[in-house]
Amino acid sequence: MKIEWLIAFYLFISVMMTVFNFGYLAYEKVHAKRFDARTKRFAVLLGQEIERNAEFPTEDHKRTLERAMRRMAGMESFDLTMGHLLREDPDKSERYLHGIATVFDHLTYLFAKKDDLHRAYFAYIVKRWYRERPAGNTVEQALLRYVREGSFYARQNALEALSQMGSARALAEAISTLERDGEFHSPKLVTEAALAFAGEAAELEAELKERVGRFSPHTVAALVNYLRMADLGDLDVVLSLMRDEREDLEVRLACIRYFMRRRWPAAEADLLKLASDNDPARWEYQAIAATALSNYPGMEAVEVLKGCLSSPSWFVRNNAARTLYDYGLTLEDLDDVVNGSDAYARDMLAYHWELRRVEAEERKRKEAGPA
Amino acid sequence: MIATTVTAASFVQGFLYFVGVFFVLYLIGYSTFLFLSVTVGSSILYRRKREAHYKSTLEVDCYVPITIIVPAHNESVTVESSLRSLLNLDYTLYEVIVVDDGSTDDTAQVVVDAFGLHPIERPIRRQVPCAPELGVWYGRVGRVPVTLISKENGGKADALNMGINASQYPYFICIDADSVLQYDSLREVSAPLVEHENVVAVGGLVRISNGIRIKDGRLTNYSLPKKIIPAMQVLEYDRSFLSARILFDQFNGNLIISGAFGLFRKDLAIACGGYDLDTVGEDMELVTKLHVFCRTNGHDYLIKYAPDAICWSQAPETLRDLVRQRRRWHTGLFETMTKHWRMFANLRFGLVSFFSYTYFLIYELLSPAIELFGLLTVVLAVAFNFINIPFMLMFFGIYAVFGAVMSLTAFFSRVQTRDLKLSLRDVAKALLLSLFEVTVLRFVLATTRMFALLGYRRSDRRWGSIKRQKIDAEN
Repeated sequence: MKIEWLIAFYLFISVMMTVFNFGYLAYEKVHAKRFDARTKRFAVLLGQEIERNAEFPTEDHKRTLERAMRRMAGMESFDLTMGHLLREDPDKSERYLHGIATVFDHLTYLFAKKDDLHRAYFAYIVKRWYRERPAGNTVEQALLRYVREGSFYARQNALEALSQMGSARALAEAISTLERDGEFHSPKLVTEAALAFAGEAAELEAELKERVGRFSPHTVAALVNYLRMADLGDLDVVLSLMRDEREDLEVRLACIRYFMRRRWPAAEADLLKLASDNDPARWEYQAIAATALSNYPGMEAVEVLKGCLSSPSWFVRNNAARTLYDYGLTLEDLDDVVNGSDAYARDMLAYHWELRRVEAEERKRKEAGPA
Repeated sequence: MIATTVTAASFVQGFLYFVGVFFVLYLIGYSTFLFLSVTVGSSILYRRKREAHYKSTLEVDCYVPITIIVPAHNESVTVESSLRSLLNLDYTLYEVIVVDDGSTDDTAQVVVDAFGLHPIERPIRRQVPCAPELGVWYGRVGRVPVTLISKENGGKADALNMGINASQYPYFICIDADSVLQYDSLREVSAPLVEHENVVAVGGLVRISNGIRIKDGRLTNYSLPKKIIPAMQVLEYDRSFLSARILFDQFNGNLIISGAFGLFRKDLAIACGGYDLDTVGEDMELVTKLHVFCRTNGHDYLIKYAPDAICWSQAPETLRDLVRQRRRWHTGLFETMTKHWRMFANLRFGLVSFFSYTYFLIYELLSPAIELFGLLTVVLAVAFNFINIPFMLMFFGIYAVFGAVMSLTAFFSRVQTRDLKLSLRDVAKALLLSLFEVTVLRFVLATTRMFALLGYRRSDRRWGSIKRQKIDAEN
């Protein structure tokens, strides 16, 4: 091949990219303006139509709405219009949304065939504006399918929509579907979805308990975190998980944190045992237990925490010193450590007492206001 | 005599033929890379814009605890405004650690006075090597804990290692003391940690702050810098850094996360030994080391690039500062590439070896030598009257237009996908500067790189310094 051809090829690419750059720039400008104007115009028309049909949406109106919402622009206009109506008259908007619930059933079939971007947006719209309770089977099954087959955002939006729809069974099924799928979905998002659940929390707890055997350790830990944050959970079950030596590290740590928030005297002995375990390979249990003991003050806990101050792990020493401060002790109360031979323990205590003094001074200064 | 001349001439002709073939392949390789990176980079930016418009974004608050480490050396002019920008970020769980690395100005005092910090005796774990601390100050500014550590001078890597040792959280971010983070940057840079499993590092997008105005971490006025040197760097950053890193990100192949803004998983950074104290390119070295560590130990891992996480950083405004900065970058590149030479053509590293490492080796590290060789060949060709001047000029012209078009594509893609408003004057300026950047700046920087390693000494831990300006950021 002649070199001139290669050069001509790259020259051609340059010209085409220049055309594309400026062409796209112009197209974007014009298109954005037109799209904005069209969305707003459509939103106004839709607003008027909704206004006319707010109390009793007719079948004709539902068909018009369905046709409009088949396109992304129409769906966006609907979102804008409903946002406006909700601000203006929340009761009216709720009545209207109940009246048009069947439109979502029909749209579900349509969006099932579309790509992930469409499905994610549809799930988002369902989360915001679908009001049928209990939710229609068609919509629920479609969302579960998105959870199973969709991209990350389609999964996440569908999970959030299911959480809003208030069916404990559907949300629990979605969480276990995430597990079956094998795709990664952050345990933090699972915890958030459970916390945002709009239905009965006790029902969700029961549904999750039924499926617990299907969950991976990541998800079990996420759900224990959910129970902790929602002040729920069977204390005996959590305690048995915490005791189980074969259980995953993450799960057991989540259980220790659970008892840090939900004080339960029956868990105290186990927490003391975990905090006393000086095996360096198990320092994570010891460190978290040292923090959890902040909710279980007592002479035995003080002695165990004093022992933690001599741990080779910085985290264990740090957490133990913080808990001892939280007990309201003074450095004089910890005389044996302060005058002891372990310099690391002394330094850590001195640091925490100094840190809290600085923070207390700052608080006082702020409360006093500017001089 | 004539026979000897004819033999020499035919030898030179043969030599020039092979040189010609080599350079055609070399330039095709580079042009294709440039074309691919700009095309992939632009299309991904447009796709992300569309996804964000249609709510394919994380709407829930899902925070991972992050320590922001700010290494500083003689930064008294910018450190206060930079730190103030860090205290109003749209993020719940983070702390800030400023490490004053033996400044000879009043950097530490500026921080203590500006934020009312108190001296404190803090035990610091030594998990990665660093010089000893001279003093620690602590205070809570609003809801954010701020720690200042003053230490003996040891270089930037040493200061960063001190920050890692003192950090409380499982992830850390390093940013330069002359940089400002956009209000949502922590949320954006941590998003890949929630979206993907096994993310060990995330690079943010570093953009040039010269010529812009920021209020409360939000961009209020965007225009190209008035001075030519930083304005050309805007185009260069978009073409070479933004687009190329998006391309490398497609196959987990990024070898660089800019030292001005990157997030790392602390336990892995510690397992790798932290920042290398003996290189000036500590940012690239750490990322390359993470690749080596994870691949060697069979860890599943991802090193992601988050172009929506934005850090505004000052670019050198004078040619002298720019040359000094690039000399430093090239030295860092040389140190990293030679230290991790086993990555070259190594099947264990897959595309990281065969694409990323090879690209950096041929088109970044060796390019000064190759370009010098090219220039010498041109001189030789002229001496033997073998050069076709009109063809050479046409070739150079096409090269310049191609490079300029790629720069502009990357630049306009970013402008369009970020919904920035450019004045007509800035558009015209970008057009002119793109040509100027390809035809002039590129050669200045190539020359800089050619001489970068002259007088090279390993273990040169000095901080790079450019003349600092106050950042136009209000809080």
